[in-house]
Amino acid sequence: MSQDLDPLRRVVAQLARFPGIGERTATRLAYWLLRQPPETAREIGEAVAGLPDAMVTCSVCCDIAATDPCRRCSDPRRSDEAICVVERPQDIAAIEQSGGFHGRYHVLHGAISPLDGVGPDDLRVRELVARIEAGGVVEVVVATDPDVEGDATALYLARLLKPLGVRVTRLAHGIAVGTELEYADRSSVARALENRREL
Amino acid sequence: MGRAPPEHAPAIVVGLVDFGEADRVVRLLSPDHGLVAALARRARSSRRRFGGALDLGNKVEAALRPGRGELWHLDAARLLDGRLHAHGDVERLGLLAYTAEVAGALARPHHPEPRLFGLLDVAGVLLDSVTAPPSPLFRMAFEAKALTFAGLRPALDRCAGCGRPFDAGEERAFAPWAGGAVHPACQAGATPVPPGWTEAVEAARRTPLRELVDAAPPPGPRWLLADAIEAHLGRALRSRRVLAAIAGPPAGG
Repeated sequence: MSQDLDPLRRVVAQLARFPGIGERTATRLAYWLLRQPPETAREIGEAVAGLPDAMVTCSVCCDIAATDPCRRCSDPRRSDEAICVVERPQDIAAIEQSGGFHGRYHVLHGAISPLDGVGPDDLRVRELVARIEAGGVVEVVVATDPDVEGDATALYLARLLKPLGVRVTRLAHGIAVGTELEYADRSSVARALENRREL
Repeated sequence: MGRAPPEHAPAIVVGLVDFGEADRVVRLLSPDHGLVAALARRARSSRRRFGGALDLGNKVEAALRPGRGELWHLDAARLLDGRLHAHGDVERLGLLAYTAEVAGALARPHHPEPRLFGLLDVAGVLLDSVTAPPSPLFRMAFEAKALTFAGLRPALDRCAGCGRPFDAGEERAFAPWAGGAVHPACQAGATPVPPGWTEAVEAARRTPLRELVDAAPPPGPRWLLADAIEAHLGRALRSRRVLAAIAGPPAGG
């Protein structure tokens, strides 16, 4: 339908399809593009147009990557003994930036979500089980979100994977680093108490 | 003219949908307002106003303001009960989500629903306090009570087809689309139920949930009341399939 619009309105309509971008922001971006040298719009357009063909799903970890296997799965410096399980590809970046994990990853592409009708069979769980059954994995670190969906996924995975002889752990949740206790919210304090550890 | 101050009301979170970059549309079940959909601005980034309170099944004190249309504004939410222990068991967590979906689906928007709210609250408290998944009869009773509190009491002591009370020992079936138990001759295609099934479900409907946590379910079908809810809604309950998938030992691989 947007083919019928004038070029500017067509760009606005397309940009407004991005999550989190409304028509006002899309209009601002479109006018910004018009103020740039023509090659800017061409470079952005080429990069966006080439994205679907340039990216593949890694057959090992299910991350979205430029190569299969992805560079993390091909990196010999990483430990094969630990797999960190995340909900979304972009969660890997958060773990990597921490510098605290040097094992492999596995992307579920979602979480068990009762209200959305998303069950275990809708996630990349079979691929994870196959990796563990192949041997060499000692620990699975479940890094799902601390909400109903993330908790249900973590508990399901623990029940599924422990009989395979691996240690299943979960990222700790509770009071954020830098937060003063008196200003912490009730939910975080309750979770921190639940997950307290011995010194 | 300044905006009206928010009303502080107890509510249970029965649905969440991410909206835009950091907002959320939250579906709340409140005793005084029934089902309320409210926009919580920056709910995914503001720890100060929402502080982890907005999760499915949580009981909160909600600061609500009516909006221009159906969508209200949720200015803040204070956690009253996070059902934290239920988050330690996948089956109880699944049931928490299921009960929230059922109560939210049957509640009327902007209409007092104190009994549905109370039922969901009690179910949440019990799921949080038990140490093992409750009996299937707990869920069946929840479904029967929820239907009753929504004005859709399932017919269990009389035929939903002809209206005649069942005689002792009389053969019975269940027709979700008809709203309850029937004589097999009154509704073709109804699911036959074993002797004593309708009496046991009716007794459970009248029994407090806390007394059903460990109660054995009657022999026979276990999802007919959910079928009745779905027949009334005209759609499937999404969490039902997930609940079945996560119940019991999972199939490997």
